[in-house]
Amino acid sequence: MALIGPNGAGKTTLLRIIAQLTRPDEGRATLFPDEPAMRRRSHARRALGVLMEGSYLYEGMTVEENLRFYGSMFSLADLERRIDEGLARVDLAGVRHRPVATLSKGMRRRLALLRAVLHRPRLLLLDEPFDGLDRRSVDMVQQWLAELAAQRCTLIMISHDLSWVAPLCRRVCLLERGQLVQSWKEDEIPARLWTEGYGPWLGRGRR
Amino acid sequence: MKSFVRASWAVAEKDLRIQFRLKSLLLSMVVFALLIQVLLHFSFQANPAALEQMAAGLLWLPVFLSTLLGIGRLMAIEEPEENWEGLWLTPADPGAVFMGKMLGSLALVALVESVSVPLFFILFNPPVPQSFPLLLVTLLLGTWGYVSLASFFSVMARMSRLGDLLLPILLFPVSIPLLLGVVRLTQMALFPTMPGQEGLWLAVLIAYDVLFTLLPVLTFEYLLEV
Repeated sequence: MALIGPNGAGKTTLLRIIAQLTRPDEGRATLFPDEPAMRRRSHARRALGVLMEGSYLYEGMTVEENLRFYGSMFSLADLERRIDEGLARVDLAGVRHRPVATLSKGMRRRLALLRAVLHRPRLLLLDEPFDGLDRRSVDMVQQWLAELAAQRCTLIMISHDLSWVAPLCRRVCLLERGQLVQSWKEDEIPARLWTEGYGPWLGRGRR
Repeated sequence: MKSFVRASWAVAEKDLRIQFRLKSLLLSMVVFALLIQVLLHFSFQANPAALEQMAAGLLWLPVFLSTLLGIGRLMAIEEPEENWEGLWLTPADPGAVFMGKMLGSLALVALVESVSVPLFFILFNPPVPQSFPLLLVTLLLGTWGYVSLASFFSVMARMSRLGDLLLPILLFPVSIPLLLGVVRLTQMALFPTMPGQEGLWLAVLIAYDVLFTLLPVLTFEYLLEV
């Protein structure tokens, strides 16, 4: 699912509420409501991967040390293999011993994404996952996310560029001022949305 | 319990790895403690008779102040990339995260003490301590309680608008029973003429340490949620 909308529409806030990083003013968000085991905080956390604006990485540690740290916090058994495979997947194997502080913005974004999926979550929340990536990296990450989606990982993404997220999504939701204005299935996305952006639909939520 | 210990160790190891690599914070804390110790030496040089009354305070003051200087920076490594959120999103018990942060800080303060306490004996030349074991136990319990409290209040202060300015205002009043305990016990350990009651003050110190270790461990989840 892709969340789109103008600045201040509430996209990131919605993602933070789903991730239980922010308490909603009213109502509540429950992850996996049909699974009683998920009421336990630790179980829900294992099923959730989050990539927000902050990378959650430590600049004073190397790429590998950061992944090892988060892997140990998730008590991952086959950590070595996951790190090796993941670094190869995001093309960072050559910099595994470099401190994060020396990485470019795009490299950090890819590493942050790898950190978010290292424990193989069932629900992946991504806030501008392509931010700072060059075209080649966007293609690489798109392909990786498509593979994750094919492995029954649910993706909820925010992006300012619909063309980057739409190929990965079965549903596109337009938000404005905290309200859901419009929602389209993958085969219902109107051509105007591609050509004119979401502008023509805005303002409806206020009436 | 096993996962609690594993997560605590991971956090403490991560903090120590970063601090030993950067070195700047550890060096600042050690140099600051040494400078205070030297300044105190010059201040009390004129009146050696006062040493017996003041010795315990002179031993602890550099430790307390250098902890105050460094603890905020130790907690601040979680801020540039919103790492508190990253820790909150792991399945680890938030209490284990606090315990890891506290143990990492404790190790650094212990290193500061390993330089500052011998310097106290060199500069002030007090008589040979009456009880080395009591002095060591007091150093351990006193440092544990103070660092635990300082770690908790430091995170609390950093979550507020006032930031580090709030830390001493929160920390000093609550640490008064601990300060009384460590000063009395240190006096008893250093000087044979000081009246006993070690058991009472050790019990106070242990109770204080247990309370201010359990309280942050149990409530850290709510603090991170703010």
